[in-house]
Amino acid sequence: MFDFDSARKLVEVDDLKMYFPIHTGLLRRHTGNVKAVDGVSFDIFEGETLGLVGESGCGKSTCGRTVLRLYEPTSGQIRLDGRGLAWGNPVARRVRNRSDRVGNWAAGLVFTIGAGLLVGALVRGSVTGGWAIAGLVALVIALTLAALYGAAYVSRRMLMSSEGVSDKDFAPSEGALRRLRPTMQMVFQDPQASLNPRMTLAGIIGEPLSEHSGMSAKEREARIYELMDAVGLNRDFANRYPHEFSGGQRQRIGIARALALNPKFIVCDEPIAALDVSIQAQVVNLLEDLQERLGLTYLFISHDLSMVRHIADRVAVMYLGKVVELAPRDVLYDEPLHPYTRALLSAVPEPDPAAHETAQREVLQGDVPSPANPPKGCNFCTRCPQVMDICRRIDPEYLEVQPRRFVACHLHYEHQETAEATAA
Amino acid sequence: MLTYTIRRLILAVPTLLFISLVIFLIVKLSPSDPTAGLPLTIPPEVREQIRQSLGVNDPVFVQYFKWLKLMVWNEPLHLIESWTGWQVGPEGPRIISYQTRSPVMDLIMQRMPQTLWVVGTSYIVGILIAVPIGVISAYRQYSIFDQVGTFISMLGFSVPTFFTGVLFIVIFAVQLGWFPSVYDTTHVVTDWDSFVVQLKQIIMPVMVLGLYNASQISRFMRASMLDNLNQDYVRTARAKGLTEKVVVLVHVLRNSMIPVVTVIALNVPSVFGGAIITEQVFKVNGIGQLLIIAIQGGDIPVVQTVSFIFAILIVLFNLLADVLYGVLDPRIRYD
Repeated sequence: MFDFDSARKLVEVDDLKMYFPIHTGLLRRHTGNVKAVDGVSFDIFEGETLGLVGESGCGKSTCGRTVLRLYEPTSGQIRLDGRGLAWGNPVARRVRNRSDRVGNWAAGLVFTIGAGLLVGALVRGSVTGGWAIAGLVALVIALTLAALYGAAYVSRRMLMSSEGVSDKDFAPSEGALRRLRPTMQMVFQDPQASLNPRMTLAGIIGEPLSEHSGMSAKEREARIYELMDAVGLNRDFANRYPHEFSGGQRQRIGIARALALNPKFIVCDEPIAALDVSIQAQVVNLLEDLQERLGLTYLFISHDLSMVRHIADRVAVMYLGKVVELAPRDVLYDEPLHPYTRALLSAVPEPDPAAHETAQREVLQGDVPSPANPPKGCNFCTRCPQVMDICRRIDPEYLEVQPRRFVACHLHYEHQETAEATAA
Repeated sequence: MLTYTIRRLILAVPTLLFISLVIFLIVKLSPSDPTAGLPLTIPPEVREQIRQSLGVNDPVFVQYFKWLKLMVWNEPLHLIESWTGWQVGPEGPRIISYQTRSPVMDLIMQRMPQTLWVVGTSYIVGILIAVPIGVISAYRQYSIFDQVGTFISMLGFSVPTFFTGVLFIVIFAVQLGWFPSVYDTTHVVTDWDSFVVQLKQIIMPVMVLGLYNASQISRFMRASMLDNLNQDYVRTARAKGLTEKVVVLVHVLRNSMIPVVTVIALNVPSVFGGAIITEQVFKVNGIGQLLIIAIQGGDIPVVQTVSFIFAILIVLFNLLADVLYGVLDPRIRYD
């Protein structure tokens, strides 16, 4: 069992929201949002596996991708190893936008004036000779660039001090984010589609190495072979293309690629969903084995509840863009608190036929509401077997109801009235 | 791959024979008379003698097999002889044009450079314009650049070249007087000034044809890029921490080029065919013009031979496109 008390938080996600805009009509106006991830908070301790479960379309994969900043989150904070990956607060984002706009205006102004003066001088004939003209053109371009970056920088500093925003609140730039990529990697769901069909295995595994590490070709080759050994791929396969492998082998390639840069944190986005049952166990055992040897931290996204029970230390349950319950694995499976978790767990097939016949299943009625138009109050209120009046009015807060057990449900608040009062 | 190519080449032989027969029959069935273009003062019995000497009165199949023998045996040998200087030239006749009384192959060889020069340049220019436009349009889908690019390529697509050609002449040659309206094929580039003259006269035909080619290829490029940009492996590439430039230009572009390269290869025969109409508009005396004049004059040997050479090129470039597909896409194997 994972020792939570001595562990350090590696990943901290706070109120993460990822909305995808909907554009409709002739003018493609912005008419709404698909709230794929709608205010999710969780921490992942170093060395643990956090399972993320939920039915299809509940935002699990989007959540995993957003945590790795493969999407630009709408709001919320993500910290990996103490370093911010997203905007620390909305003010910082506004500061950046405004200062960028100031830079653009300044650059436009400088360019217009410079170009105007230059054209005027050319028309009057006071500047002649190719080199003089070329030099002046270069000067105008240089001044424009200086205005673009200089004005943006100065205005950002000024706004930062007046708004009380520090450097740490800014999201990393594209380049800075790129340099952080080696610490966080992802194993993708579809092992076929996620590998470039025109690259050989060595090319796929070696590309991040040549991008981020200053290895020589020889060292790179050695590292590629080392990784192939680690995931159990034959070294002779190095120059083959992805389509020449089986599904399980392809997923091993994906894992080797993710491991190439010695990441600390790996998001496994349904890594076994596309695989044969006989291969699933191999891949999961490989992931566990690698975790033990390399001290990896996983966010394991899956809809296979038995597999999550096998691999995860803690489990988060998502429903319609929100985490409804997060708890250590054993207590969650033994005694689920949220009605949705109970329904989900009761759907797990029972291997014993006799028990299967008698199993008490909690079957939910109705369909999942659209994430573009979630119900008022609790997201689950349309299907909850224990729905109460308050559920339809107030969205339950996500609270730690017992030590290390988080749940978002009105059933488990000790002081419902207080919750109502604070929410209102 | 080699066995596949050889098999395809062998299979091409009956195809080409059939094509040549169909072309021959169509041309023969059309009511054209090789003596129709001759002066009216020539008496009918002389005309009949001329027809007799041309062999027009023989049965159709006799004529066809005579032509076929010359096409597949005598002419290639002559070609080899003229290229290498070896004395392999067979005794006997060659395919002779009714109009000029010179061998058809000589006519084609005279006109090939002009066509390759003008139409080939326009094809290359079209590709060079189309690929970046397609890439940017797809990468910034629905942006202003994409909308403008879509509009222009729809325009280039739907407006025929005989219209854009005349329009360009009216605007740039007649109104503005920037470029000459006629392409002078006798012009020789010797120094900078003559190069500028060459550049000026080639710009309009190249732009007219280039616009047409570019609008086609840029559509293909855009569609293919869009197809690939949403693929999972692009997300993998981003997750690897590659720069956006590498993601788009190495991962996406390389995969998107597969169908585009085949389309480009498939259209190459049309370069040899010359843009028949555009050559007429700009008075380029290339293959296209040769074909038009031959059709007008009922010059069956020229029409037949030129069309047959096109057929060979189309078959060959179809094969080349298929082979290229196999080379570019490791998932496709022909063995």
